[in-house]
Formats: sequence, structure tokens, C-alpha cells
Amino acid sequence: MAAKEVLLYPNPNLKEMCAQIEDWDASVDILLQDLVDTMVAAGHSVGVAAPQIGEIRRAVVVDVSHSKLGKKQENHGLLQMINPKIIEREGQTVVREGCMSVPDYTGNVTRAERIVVQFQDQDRQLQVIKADGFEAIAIQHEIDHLDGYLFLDRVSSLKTDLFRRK
Amino acid sequence: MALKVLTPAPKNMLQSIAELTVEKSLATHRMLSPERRFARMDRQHPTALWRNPMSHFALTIIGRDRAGIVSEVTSILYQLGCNIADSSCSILGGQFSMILIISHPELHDQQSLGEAFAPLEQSGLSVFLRTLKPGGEVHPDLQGEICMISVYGADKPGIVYRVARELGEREINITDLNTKLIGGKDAPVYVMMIEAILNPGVEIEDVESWMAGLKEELKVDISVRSITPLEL
Repeated sequence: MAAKEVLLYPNPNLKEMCAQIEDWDASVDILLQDLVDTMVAAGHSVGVAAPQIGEIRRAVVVDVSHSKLGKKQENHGLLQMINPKIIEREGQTVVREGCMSVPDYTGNVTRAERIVVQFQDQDRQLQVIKADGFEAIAIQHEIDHLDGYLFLDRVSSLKTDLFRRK
Repeated sequence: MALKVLTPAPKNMLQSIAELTVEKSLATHRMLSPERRFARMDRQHPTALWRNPMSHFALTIIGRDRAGIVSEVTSILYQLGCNIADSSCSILGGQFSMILIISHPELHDQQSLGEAFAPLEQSGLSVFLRTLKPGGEVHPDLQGEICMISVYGADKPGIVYRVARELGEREINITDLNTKLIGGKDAPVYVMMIEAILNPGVEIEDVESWMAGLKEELKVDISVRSITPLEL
């Protein structure tokens, strides 16, 4: 178990549809620990998805509790998510996002403000949680990775298009 | 806008561009000569390329908006073998405005590129080309919180200047600025959006306090917020 190298686009793994994890063997525990270790090693980023370390399986970790923005809100601390699925979305917010796998570029992305997400945690328990604010954005960003989406696929406006007509 | 042209141009690119423009401008042939000279030099002196790192140019093109401008401009750049390193293009007023940082591995002087854009001038676009000093193409490494300042209110002189002065006096770097006059003729509203990078130690609240006085003075609404990208 160790921090892995974060893959950069155009690594093809980042554009893959990740497979559902059906059989929970030891490799799943290792994967979760690798994701946590990688997140912490990357200056405690707020999340890492399995394809970012080369595993085409549906697993992400998110932890906004160490970030400046996350500290301002109630949050769930470290979330280790297997087969996460967003089952409800509410509201819309535009945020500028960046991604470790696409360095030196940021873009304005429209995300749901509040989400309900279900997943299996590290103890294989099915969890359903509500998330909002920065945490909700981070979860949506990481789950996008599992479907082969980068924030580049979600950019809703150029930063200079504030005045663009409807 | 996906403008990057990184594919090497075909070997006969200069031939093509010559064919494109020969009827319109005999001067095109002057453009060919320095390039050929460079090519010969490279063969004779393997270090010639090392001595001549990629030159970068600032290219500005503006003209009445219509469909096809980007295509015309990038066709010429592609056939010249230019790379588009960085670019921003938008409609300002009725004008389509293109600002591009371009580079070329072999052409180093402005004259060798300049004539290639003659067809654009003939189609009603204004073209400005400037050679960048070495290193002028490198984006500065700006560290700090990014803030957005929205300023809007009844149109009056000095809105841009007064806000910019408050920032400039404190060495705050404006990295993006948009202004627009909106609303009807009877009640024109001026809208300005500024992105600026806050120096270490400067907080959003500080910017808000600088702007507080301006709200009164200019009778405009001003809001300030952090838009530092979420690093995910």
C-alpha cells in the first residue's frame, strides 16, 4: 500500500468507463488505501478516483476536511466510496475547478449544489449520505472520473463569457 | 476554442502559401527567401536551431464579425507552420477580436511572417504582428487567491479607472477584465468584471474595504468574492 503516481491526461485510463466492483477481495482494500495514501501525498488534495492511479474500477476517496473551503462547512471527513452513485441532485452552482490529472488549466463547471449519494464504505456497509457545498462538488468531480469524464467535458462557460447572450 | 495547430505543416507549406497569395501579392516571395536561407543554414550548421530558439509573436486581428474569420486566419497559420501557443478570441462591440501568441520553429523575424497575412487585410480585417522578446511567451507564475470583483451601476465616467487605481496602488495584479454597457438608452448600466490575484497577506475582506468607499463615490454596486479554483 502506497501513494501512487497520479496519471495525467492523455493517459487513456482517464477516459475509460470504470467497472462496478462485484467481488470484494483484498485488492479492493488495497485500492482504497492506495487512494487515501495518494490523496494525502498529493499535498492532501480533496479527492482521488481509482482511474487516476490506473485502476479502472469504481472507487473514489474524498476528504474536504483538510482544505480551506472544506473547513468552513459541515462535512463527512474521509469518505471511502465503492460503487458510488448519485441518487439525487438539487440546485445548480458554477464553480471553477482544476484537476490533478489536467494540470495548468481550470474551467467553470456547473454542478448540483446538493446531492444524495449511495456507496459501500470501507467496511462494506451501504451508506446513503447528503452532501452539499464544496464536499458535494468534490464528490461529483471524483465520480465523473469513474465514467471517463474530466472537468473539461463539463466546462459550462469560458471565464470571459460573463456577458454572453442567452 | 480548439485552435491549437501542432501538426507539422507539410513540406510544401511555403509553396502552398505562395500559391494562395501569389496572385494577390508578389511580396510573398520576399517572405520565402529568409526561410530558405534559414533552412540552408540549418543544414550547414547543426547548431543553428539551438542558436535560434523558437520565436514567438503576438498576433492581433480585428474586424467586423462574420462567419469564417477563425478559419481564414488559422488556415494561413497552419500553412505557414505556425503553432498557436495561447489565444483568446471574442466579439467586442461588432468586432471579432483575436489575440494570439504564435510561434514558428524557423521563421524568426516579423517580416518573414508579415506578408502572409496580406489576404486578411484584403478581406477587411486589421492585422497587427509583433515579435516577442525571448521569454515573453512564458505565463508568469502567479501565486495567491484569485478574486472576482463585480462592479455595476448607472453609467458614468471613471468607473474602470477608479476601481483599477485602488488595485494598482496596492500592486494587485489584474489578470482579466471585461466591461459591457447594458440596459436601454434611457438607463444605461455599466458592468465590469475583474479577476485579480491577491498578494500574500491580502484577504477578500481587505478588497471589500477598499471598494466600500468607491460604492459611495461612484454610486455603483460592488461585490468581491473568491474564485480560486477548487483543486480536485
